[in-house]
Amino acid sequence: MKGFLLTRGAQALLVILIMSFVIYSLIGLMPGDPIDQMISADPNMTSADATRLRALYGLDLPIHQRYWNWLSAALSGDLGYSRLFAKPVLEVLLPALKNSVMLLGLALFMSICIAIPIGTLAASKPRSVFDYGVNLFAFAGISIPSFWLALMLIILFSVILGVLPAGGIAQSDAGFWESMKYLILPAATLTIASVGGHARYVRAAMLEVLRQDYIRTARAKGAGAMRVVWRHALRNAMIPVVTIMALDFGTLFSGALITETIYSWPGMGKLIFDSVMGNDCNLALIALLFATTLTLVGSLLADICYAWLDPRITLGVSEQ
Amino acid sequence: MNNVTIVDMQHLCKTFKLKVAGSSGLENRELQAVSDVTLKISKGEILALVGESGCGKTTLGRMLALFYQPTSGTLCIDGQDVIGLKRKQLKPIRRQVQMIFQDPVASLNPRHTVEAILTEPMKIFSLYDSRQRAGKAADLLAAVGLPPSDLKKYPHEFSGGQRQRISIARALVLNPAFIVADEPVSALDVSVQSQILNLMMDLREEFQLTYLFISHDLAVVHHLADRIAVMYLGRIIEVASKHDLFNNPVHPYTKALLRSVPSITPNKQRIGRILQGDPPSPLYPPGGCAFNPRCPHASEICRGSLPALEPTATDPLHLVSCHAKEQLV
Amino acid sequence: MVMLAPAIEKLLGLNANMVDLFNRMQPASDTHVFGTDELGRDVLLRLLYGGQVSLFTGLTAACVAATIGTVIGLTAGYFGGRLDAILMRITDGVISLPLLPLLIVLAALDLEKIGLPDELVNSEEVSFYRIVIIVALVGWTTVARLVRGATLSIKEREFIMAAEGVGAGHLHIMFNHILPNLISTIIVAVTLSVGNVILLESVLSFLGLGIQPPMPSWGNMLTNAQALIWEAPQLAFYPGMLIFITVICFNFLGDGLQDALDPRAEY
Ligand SMILES: Nc1ncnc2c1ncn2[C@@H]1O[C@H](COP(=O)(O)OP(=O)(O)OP(=O)(O)O)[C@@H](O)[C@H]1O
Ligand SMILES: [Mg+2]
Repeated sequence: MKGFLLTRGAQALLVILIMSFVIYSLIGLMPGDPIDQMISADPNMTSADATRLRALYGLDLPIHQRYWNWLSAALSGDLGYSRLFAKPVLEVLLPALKNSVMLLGLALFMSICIAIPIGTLAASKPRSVFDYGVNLFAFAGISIPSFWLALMLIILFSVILGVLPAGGIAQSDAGFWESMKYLILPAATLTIASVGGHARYVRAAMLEVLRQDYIRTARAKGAGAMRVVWRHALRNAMIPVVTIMALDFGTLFSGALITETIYSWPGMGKLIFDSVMGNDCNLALIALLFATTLTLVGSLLADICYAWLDPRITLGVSEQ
Repeated sequence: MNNVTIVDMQHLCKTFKLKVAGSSGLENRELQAVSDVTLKISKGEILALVGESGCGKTTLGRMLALFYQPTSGTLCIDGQDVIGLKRKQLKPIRRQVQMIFQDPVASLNPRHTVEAILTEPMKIFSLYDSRQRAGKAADLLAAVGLPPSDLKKYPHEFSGGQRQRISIARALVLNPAFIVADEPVSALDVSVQSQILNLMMDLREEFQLTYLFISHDLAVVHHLADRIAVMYLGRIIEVASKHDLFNNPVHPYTKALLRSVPSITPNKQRIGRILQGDPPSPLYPPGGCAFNPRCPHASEICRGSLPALEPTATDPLHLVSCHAKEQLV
Repeated sequence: MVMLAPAIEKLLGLNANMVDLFNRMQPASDTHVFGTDELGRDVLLRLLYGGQVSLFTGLTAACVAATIGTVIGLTAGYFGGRLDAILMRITDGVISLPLLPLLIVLAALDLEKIGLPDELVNSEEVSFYRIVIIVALVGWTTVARLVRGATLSIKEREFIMAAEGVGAGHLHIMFNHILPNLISTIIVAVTLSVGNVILLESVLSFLGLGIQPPMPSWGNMLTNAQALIWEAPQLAFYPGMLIFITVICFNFLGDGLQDALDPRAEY
């Protein structure tokens, strides 16, 4: 187990390092570098000035040296300055992270609360109308363009009914319900898009567990069908489900990019989008790396869950 | 039968590296599938290789057909040493050696027409132009008893016997001198088996072929072999002409095999069910003579040392690997 | 239906790019079945042309992705060993990346800085090529995995050994013997990924990073619609609905094909 953790951790670290270089190079290829922006701001600047400035900032160095300089600065805690927000990068990043966690946490929580009961019900009556309904719903969730879903919700609740705000976030001094109002639509969008997929995972995991021997034994001992499903099987079916969700939480950070952008929800996704679009290199770099790291950590956690929750152990637990 | 050697094996061995579930997780182990085989095959003869399931017949055959690299020993085909040759260097030698596979379903690519299957070797070796290739394919099909209209068909449109005919035709495309046939009829109905065997006999005359014929069915072997080699747990334990082997077998294992075939009629009984007990696993071979745990004549020396494959006193062409062979003749 | 766009255009006597500023944002009527947009263009026709662009982009990108994935999966599965391990690690790595943010960075790249010639950068189709390449760069992983799995089982079949026996080289075996037997796997993988690709394309186009106007695509039609969400909410409905229907159809088709080709399907 320890060896497994070490190798996987080292692998993830390696991927992060590689990705930091890739992202650094890509960002360098985005339109306009800082000096160009200065030139356009100051018409008196000559090309000789520009060259001198480039040398000053180290922009004329080959890419790997620039990367090395950036990396050593970043590792010593200097993440640079955001041009767009005129603040140190970290000060911009942390509130965005808080907002994202709030939104994603709520969405994931709602999704799980809905997915577990309907997935379990579907698995307990495979091939029933309800089962097909869940399947259809899951496919719809996977196939729906989330930005369109968001637009439709805005049209319905903001334009037509006028009950919820179309986007943004409440003032920091607003009351709880006032803040919730801004959270409802984005959270609902994310939930609708993911609940179907989650229900399918729950269903598949339940079916797998219901096939196992000890469930048959419990049935043979006369436990009622529903009781078997809910008391004995669900606990074991949760293992793959938890794994999937660990995986999902990481990906959600980037997946929520569109939802956050449409609703102007100031989270990580919108931050990434804005910084890339606004050529805010320092911020974009850190935000992207951060999203990459979170996604990798998510998949690492999922792997650990899998390796940890050895089937034999779970069987032992259920037979008590 | 002239006595030009076409295949010359000296101390040929093949070990597979395996991972086996042991006391402390997976352990690396070596499986000696073929051990120290020294054998010559003369031009024009049919040498049959018989033995129980898992004794290493296929492994030996595949080494001769250039699919497996021998772990040690030497192997000369048509005077050419093939040990250690790379894929590219083996290519010209492959024209001399071809293989007919056991499973007529798996050995034909389901997505290729018969024509594609039969012209492929010519394309690979850049023989003839495309018109001549099609003609050659039709000729070969005729030689194995199928009409030229079958060229456009796919393998699944044929019966097992017909598919094996296609397989045989493919083996003949490059005009090889030597063919390894690995249980070519064991997957077929009994009624079809003799047709295929007769076809193989006819083709031997027509194309001057030499066969290594692998089988576990002594009845089939009796039908067409000139000489027979008996294999047990990776080793050749007795080699003799068909007449000698059937009339005065020496090795106790060979005797047991022959006793299990009451009359020489086509019969699908497997050797595996004949002797008492299962053959030992090649992963954990017994010390001394490999046959000693099942042998009625086993003595101390059989458990201690490995007998060499040597001629009997009366017949220099009858080779036996048994400590007690002089008493058993 | 989408293929018939030019015919329907004639039938209605309208032109997809005809600007009619007097008839802006009209609701549905006899002449304009789905109404008109902010420049007075017929929505139905723009939907049809946008569909052509979206479907074509989706299919092209899916096919390019499938080609990359097939080559990688086939190589990994056929040669096995160290090469397989490396290729599959890379695949896992790509799968575990946050795709959308990276796609946005890729889409925002300055093509002149990569050193592409000016005519290409400024040509009209550049947004199309760019999106195809971007989507293909990340979309090959599913295909690669499925193809690798299938290759592993196919290469053990005896006809592969038979081909080796008649002197076939590695490339010959990979492309003449294994590839034809992978067709059904690849079809399933492509069908399953077309839906995703169309979604990705529409997202990027929606964000202004994909297909550029005036070329209509379902995604960039929604960009306009979002800006007009208070004046003409109906404009936002149709393109998204069409994306939704198309994607769900491909997903169902892929799922059905997979079940049909895989006898182990559960329940
Ligand atoms: N590729 C391989 N890797 C590992 N072990 C193998 C391999 N091929 C064969 N073996 C092992 O080598 C031994 C000999 O196998 P082989 O297939 O040569 O036997 P056989 O005589 O042809 O048997 P059968 O009559 O069943 O075809 C067996 O124990 C088998 O498990
Ligand atoms: Mg065999």
